[in-house]
Amino acid sequence: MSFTNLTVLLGFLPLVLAVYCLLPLPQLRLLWLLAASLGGYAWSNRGEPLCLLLLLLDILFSYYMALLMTNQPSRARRYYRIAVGGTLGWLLLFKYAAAVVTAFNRTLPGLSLPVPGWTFPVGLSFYTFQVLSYLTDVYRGTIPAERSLVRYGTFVAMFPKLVSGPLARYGLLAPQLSRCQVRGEAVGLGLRRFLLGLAAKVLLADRLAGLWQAAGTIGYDSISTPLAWMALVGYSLQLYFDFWGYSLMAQGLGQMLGFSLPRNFDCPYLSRSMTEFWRRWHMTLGAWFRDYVYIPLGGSRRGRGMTARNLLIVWLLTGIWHGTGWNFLVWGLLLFLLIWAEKGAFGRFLGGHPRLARVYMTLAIPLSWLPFAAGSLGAAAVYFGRLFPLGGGAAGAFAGDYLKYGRSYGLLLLIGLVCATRLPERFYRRYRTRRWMLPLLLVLFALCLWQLARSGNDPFLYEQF
Amino acid sequence: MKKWVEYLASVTLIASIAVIFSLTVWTLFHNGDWTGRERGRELPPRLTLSAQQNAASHAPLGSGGQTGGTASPQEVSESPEMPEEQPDVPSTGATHTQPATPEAEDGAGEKTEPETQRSLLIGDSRAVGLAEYGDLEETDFFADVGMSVYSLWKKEVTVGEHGKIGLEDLLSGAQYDKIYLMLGINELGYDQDQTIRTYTETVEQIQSLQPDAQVYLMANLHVTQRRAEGDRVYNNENLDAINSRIAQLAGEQELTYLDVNPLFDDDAGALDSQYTSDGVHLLARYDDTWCQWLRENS
Repeated sequence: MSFTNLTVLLGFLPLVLAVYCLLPLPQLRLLWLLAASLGGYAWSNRGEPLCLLLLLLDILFSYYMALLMTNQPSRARRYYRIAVGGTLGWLLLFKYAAAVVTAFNRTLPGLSLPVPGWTFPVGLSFYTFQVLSYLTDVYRGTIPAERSLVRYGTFVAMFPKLVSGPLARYGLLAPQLSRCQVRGEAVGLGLRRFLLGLAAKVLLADRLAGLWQAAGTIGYDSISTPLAWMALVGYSLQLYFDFWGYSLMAQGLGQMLGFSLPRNFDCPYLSRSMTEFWRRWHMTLGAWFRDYVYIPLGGSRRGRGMTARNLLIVWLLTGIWHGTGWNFLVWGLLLFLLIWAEKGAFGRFLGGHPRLARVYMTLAIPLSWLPFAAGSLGAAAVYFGRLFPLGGGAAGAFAGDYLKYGRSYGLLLLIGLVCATRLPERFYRRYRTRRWMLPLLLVLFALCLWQLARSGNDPFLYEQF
Repeated sequence: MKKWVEYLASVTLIASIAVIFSLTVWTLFHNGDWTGRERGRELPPRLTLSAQQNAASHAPLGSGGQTGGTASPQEVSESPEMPEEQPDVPSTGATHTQPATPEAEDGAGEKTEPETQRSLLIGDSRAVGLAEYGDLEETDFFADVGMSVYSLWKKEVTVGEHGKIGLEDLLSGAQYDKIYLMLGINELGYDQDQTIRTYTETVEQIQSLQPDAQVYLMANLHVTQRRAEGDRVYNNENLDAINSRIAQLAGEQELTYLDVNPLFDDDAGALDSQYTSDGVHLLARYDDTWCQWLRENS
């Protein structure tokens, strides 16, 4: 369910939060949270009953397998494998089956297997990883298996983090789930955080989205070089504010409910190397891959060759987790190459020359997003040709297109670049207690509502061709 | 030694990125397309108005008080000179006003110099695509994203040399030989009868301001099947419905109806997805094709 939907924002959320805060007992609050989360998920995917079914199946399956592992330690390994296999299998099936079958059909002519047409259940990638981390932690003995189905179910399905949420570890959330504490201070802080995330998403990300979209509509082959760069930077900013905004919203909601959800972003665009970047971007995913893939494979403790192999595996998996095209695989590979290069002398060089490192990152960040954003390898290649038009032809088919879009998006891009630094955070921290801070936040909220109303609720008004 | 080599490699990497960047910038300046001129094509000077001034100066009717020294057509914009050249113009204050009086009409009919045909294309964002990426010559575009028959007369759009101008002023000031109208998709959410009524009024208004112009009513381009899926408003059934009513109107008013859809449609009567990336607008590289078709069919 999307938090930027007006119905959710002004209907679902206030209702759920109000009832939650008014309920007297933690057990009741937990039940309400579970019911609301499942209900909200079901309602927002009411066209696809499979979504809810799969979620419930995942929860029940992993819950029982974890208990089995604990109760029969001699067979724990087998149960673990079955549990992981089953959970992962569902993910692979729903996410990649269609793409794999299509690829087979294409490469082996004459083979025309039916391409599965099911829609991808919303949030599957995220909650699958959540479940896998729980199973692994139980298997390793890090945490005891959860006996309460309600508590476990809430952990997996809680609405702040179900769809794209930060990947939380069960060990950290479990004690909070038993208490479901509601404190006025936390609610206030959480609300503010939610508001800031909403502003980032609605006022920055959603409005910057038009630039990249315009480049796509025109066709990558027809844009000029300045516009190509502008659109790529716009995409980088849009992606950041979209995801960061959402993560802040999730954290804020969690805080209001009495949970402390982990942070997902730490001003990644200020990083000085790709290695650092990926420790500050989507931090919970990076930590997940580190703890559950990289370290179990041996990490960096078995020599350079093995380190390279482990890194490659992690990055290819990261790529493929984000999407099902060849371009995502190439994207993962590209990141691996950069990070591997940085492990050597190049990394030391960057460490010693922070300004050059900034130049490097200014280019590396948007360029590394290119295969991710372009949708296909061919399109990425065309776009790259527009970014670096060796041999002339930097002008697009429409001379001055960058001026046109510069006028529309220039200010927004500038604001975006400023907001990608620590300035907004510092500003907020410094003036948080001032009298005008709350009115300012409310103005932001009003602007968000206005923007959402313009774009969502009146298709005639906003859908303009 | 090895450390030195690695250091050198790192510097080379950074330097090569900088070089590629500079090369890009140099290429931009070298091609000379930085300034916004249309690629390879220079727009010829507008002769239409000056020719009419000439004609007016030769016209036997109602041209008393003309200064004689206006025989040579001026290449620059003639608008500041018009009030001087044609003192018989009923002064309405607007310097752009082209008199629709009988004298001027006869004057126009008695042109002694060959005129350059100038066309006007009025439309929505798909027309903006034609304006920016098409290769129609001698054409002005009064087009903007979101243009509809309801907003047409209220909007001000930058049109070539006229600057930011409203449609009424534009049609009153300049003379066009062909006027193309492509509107309809942004009105799909409104009542169709109301839209057609407003559309008809629009056509009549255009004809009254430019009685000599040939008006072409263009069908709205389809959307892709994928884009139309699940959309109750923006789908091809609704587009076909409004297109057929526009065709009907064209028939009644004896205007030409142009339907480019067969050129870009797939077998199912929707826009072929190879021509578009967002399902609604043509990719820029196909705008030339559309323009070619327009030239051939009108």
